[in-house]
Amino acid sequence: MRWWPFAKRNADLERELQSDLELEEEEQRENGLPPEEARYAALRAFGNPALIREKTHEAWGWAVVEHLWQDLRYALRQLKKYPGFTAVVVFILAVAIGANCAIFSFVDAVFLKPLPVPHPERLIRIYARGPSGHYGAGFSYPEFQQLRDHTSSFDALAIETERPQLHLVLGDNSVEIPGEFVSANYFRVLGVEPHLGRSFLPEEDAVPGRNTVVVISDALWTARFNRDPAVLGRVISINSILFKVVGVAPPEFYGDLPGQPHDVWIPAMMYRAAGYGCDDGTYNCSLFDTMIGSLAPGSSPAQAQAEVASATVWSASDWPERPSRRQIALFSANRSSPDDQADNAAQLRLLMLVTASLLMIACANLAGLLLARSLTRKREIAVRLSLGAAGSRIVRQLLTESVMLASLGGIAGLALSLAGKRILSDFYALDSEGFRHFYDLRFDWRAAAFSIGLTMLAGIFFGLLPALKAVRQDLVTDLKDGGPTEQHTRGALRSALVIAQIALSIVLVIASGLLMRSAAKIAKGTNFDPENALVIRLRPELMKYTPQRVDALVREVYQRLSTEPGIVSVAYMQGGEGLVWDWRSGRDAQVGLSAESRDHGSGLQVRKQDVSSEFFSTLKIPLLQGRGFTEHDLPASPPVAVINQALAQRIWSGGNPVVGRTLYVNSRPFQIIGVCADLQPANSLYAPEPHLYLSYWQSNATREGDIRLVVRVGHDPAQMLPIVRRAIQSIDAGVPVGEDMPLAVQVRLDYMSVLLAQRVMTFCGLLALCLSAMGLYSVLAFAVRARSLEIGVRMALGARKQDVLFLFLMDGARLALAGAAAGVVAALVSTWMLRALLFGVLPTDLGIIGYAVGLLVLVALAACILPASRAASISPMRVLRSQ
Amino acid sequence: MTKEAPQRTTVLQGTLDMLILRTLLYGPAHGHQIGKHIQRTTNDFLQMQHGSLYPALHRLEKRGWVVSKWETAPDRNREFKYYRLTEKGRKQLIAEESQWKQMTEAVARVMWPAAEES
Repeated sequence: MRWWPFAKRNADLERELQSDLELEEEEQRENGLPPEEARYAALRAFGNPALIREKTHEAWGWAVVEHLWQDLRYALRQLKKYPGFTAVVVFILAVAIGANCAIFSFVDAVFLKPLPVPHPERLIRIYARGPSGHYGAGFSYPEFQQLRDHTSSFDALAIETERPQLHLVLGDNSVEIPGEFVSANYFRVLGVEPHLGRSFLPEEDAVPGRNTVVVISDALWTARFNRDPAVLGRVISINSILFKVVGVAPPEFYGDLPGQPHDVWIPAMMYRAAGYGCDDGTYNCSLFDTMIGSLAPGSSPAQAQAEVASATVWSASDWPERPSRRQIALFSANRSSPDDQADNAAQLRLLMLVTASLLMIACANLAGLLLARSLTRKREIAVRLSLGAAGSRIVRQLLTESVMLASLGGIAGLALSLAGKRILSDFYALDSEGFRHFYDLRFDWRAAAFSIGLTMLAGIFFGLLPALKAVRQDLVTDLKDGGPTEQHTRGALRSALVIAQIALSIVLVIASGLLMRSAAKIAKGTNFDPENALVIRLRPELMKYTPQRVDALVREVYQRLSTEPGIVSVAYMQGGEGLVWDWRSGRDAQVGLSAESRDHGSGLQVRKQDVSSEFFSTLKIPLLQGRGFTEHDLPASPPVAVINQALAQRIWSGGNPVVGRTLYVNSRPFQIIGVCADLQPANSLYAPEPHLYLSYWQSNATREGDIRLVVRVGHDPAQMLPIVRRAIQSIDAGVPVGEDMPLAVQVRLDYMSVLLAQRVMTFCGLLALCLSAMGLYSVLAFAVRARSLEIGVRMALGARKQDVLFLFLMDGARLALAGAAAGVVAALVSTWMLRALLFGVLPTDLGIIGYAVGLLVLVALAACILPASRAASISPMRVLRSQ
Repeated sequence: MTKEAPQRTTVLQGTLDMLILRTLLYGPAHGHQIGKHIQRTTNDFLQMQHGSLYPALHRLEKRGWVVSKWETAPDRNREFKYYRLTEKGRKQLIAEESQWKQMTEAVARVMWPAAEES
């Protein structure tokens, strides 16, 4: 009965009222009134039909819907009536909301999206945390087997370790792909079924080196096999081992770590054969990253945590070199690794803060615009109030207008965020070692909910204040007055909004200035020259070359490249982790002043790089004392070392000269022949790290690991890259080559977080500045219009044009300076949050603050000039006459 | 009209429903008749504001205490929307009647305590 079509029920009501009205009329006529009078008397006795209708509708319970519908239609009419205003508001909102949605899609991809597996909430990952605090200490295979067989809280437990640089050779193509070594039950633990072929059988993960089978990803199948169903059984070469493809993973599955897609999965038993880990026949010394298990039905994560942490397998571990203090930690597998999360969390938090600030500025701006507009609608609202409309009804209607505006802005913003997402994902796509990252940025219900919620919030946020203000008014004066008058110029609220906007914008501008300087310092290279140089990495260990063969290869490559036209100099570095120029590179070494310092513990743990003779000259690292390595520093000659300034400071506290002194490295004596500058950019969070350089040819480090070359060229490294690659491949066609890019690009990629933050901050800062300028302009323009009478009087009394101009400029300046002051204080208090990203610049750099304030003054001046000059050009006669 | 009407309706809000139900106990009637009836029976003391009568009637219909139907009036050639009391409405009327009696007794006891004791 309640859901009769509205129109029908309404018609019914009309008919009822009509018939009763006629009855009333008849009665009045019977009382003796003439027909006309009778009609009016009847109407008067009857009451207000509109009110009756409304009350009845309310009784039906349709009041809410009906009001909403009316509000929507009215709001739409208003928006169409002022298209310019609508366009401006929608544009501002679109940019602000779009930025927020784009960043949120990253937050979603990294933190919120569940894994592409059937029951992600039942998966638990086990990590070992080493003394350095990172979660990568690892487990050995026998430990995994023990745990797997002796715990009951897991339905199944698998072990996995990733290797992002597997060397794949398919026909003529060789490429580096990311992959994982997993135990045979890995896919079963995740609940993932290969959609072609099968996953591993238990016996395929039983004997080291026996079963050369592989499961490939859907992406690899598409890219390299053209989705040929006959891929099963094909043989591919990975790290020079021939593997047979037995399965293809489902299209949605890229692995179990967001951001790190894997292309192949290989049985853990092949780890050593593929060239990784150490060789003791029992897999005891090889370390796998993490274990992943699915909870047994009825077990809780807490139970699993308790059981695993107290398992006896940890104390029974007998490999001597493993750090004894390992903390076992369990995490829900629904997230990326805790190390990854920590890095990403800080970055994304900053970006969200920035885009949220932009949205707040946009809302403040729009609130100001709406306040100004509500002043012009005072008459209309006064009429409505006097007709009996409830104040709350009007507020609701005005809010509907602003929410409708916000919705339009939100839709446009979503469209913009697609572009924003593309730009952001380009940032994350490649990292400094040439690995591809992939984040699933697809639009899902979470992103939709976020954008809708944000839009609603924005609409209410910027609409509430003007709406409330609009209904608090004196009806009589508003009905009489034509437009904005003297009383309305005080506009304290609007001024406050503008000041707030300016303050926030200054903070953003200062932050972007700091980041720009930091990025510039990075790009220039700290004590080395990244321009006109390129890097390239060789991986002979994957070919299982003997150390002699590796040395021969290196010598040949060096000879060949040095004689290549266009190449100025070549240097190489061997082994360990990290990039050639990175201050965190190399292997660990113990240095001390005596041979026993290692045992005493009085030594120092430093990073050590084994470098060629032209290392310092190729990278243009200044040598503060002594010399670098030469060709005469051969295995037979006295062992020599070069240390960086931080190390010199640490051990000898800067006492000169350091050259000639002896340093014990891993208990062997080395003579110091030079001190070089630190490659570490100055950052308030990190103290200068000591670093040691040994000659490649003198080092007795095993020839495992990568050979990284840095080549200085005459010009345009990008053009020289294919030449260098061809030269290397002409010497040895099989050796895997990767991480080949101009050095400047690699530097940028390594500090990508700084660059990203800088771009976003600059974008938002400039936008915020524009918005604030707009706000300032509109406040001033409004004041000019409202005070036109006052200006006319002033000019009539003798004020000159300059005086009027000055008067309004001062008004604007006052607002701008108030905002600037508040903003500078806010910046001083908050820029410490950027500490981790600021290299070579302090968070409270006064120079940058000065520039920012200067920029603001210019912008504010530009914003104030137009209204002020319009004020100055008011003709007093016209104004006085029109009043 | 706008100032006084709200006052009057708030007084009658809960009792208006009861009065309408009582009126319909005599037999079906349409909105106008109900209003006139109450007015006449109270000697013009309670002047029915149509603004509250129709919403009340529709409210009662929503609750299922009355049903409505368009019928031709016996003595005219026109159709009117007649309201009838339902069984539920009858029960509701009895309930509200007893409630009203209780309330008036309680009020009387407060207002004129001596009358009670004697």
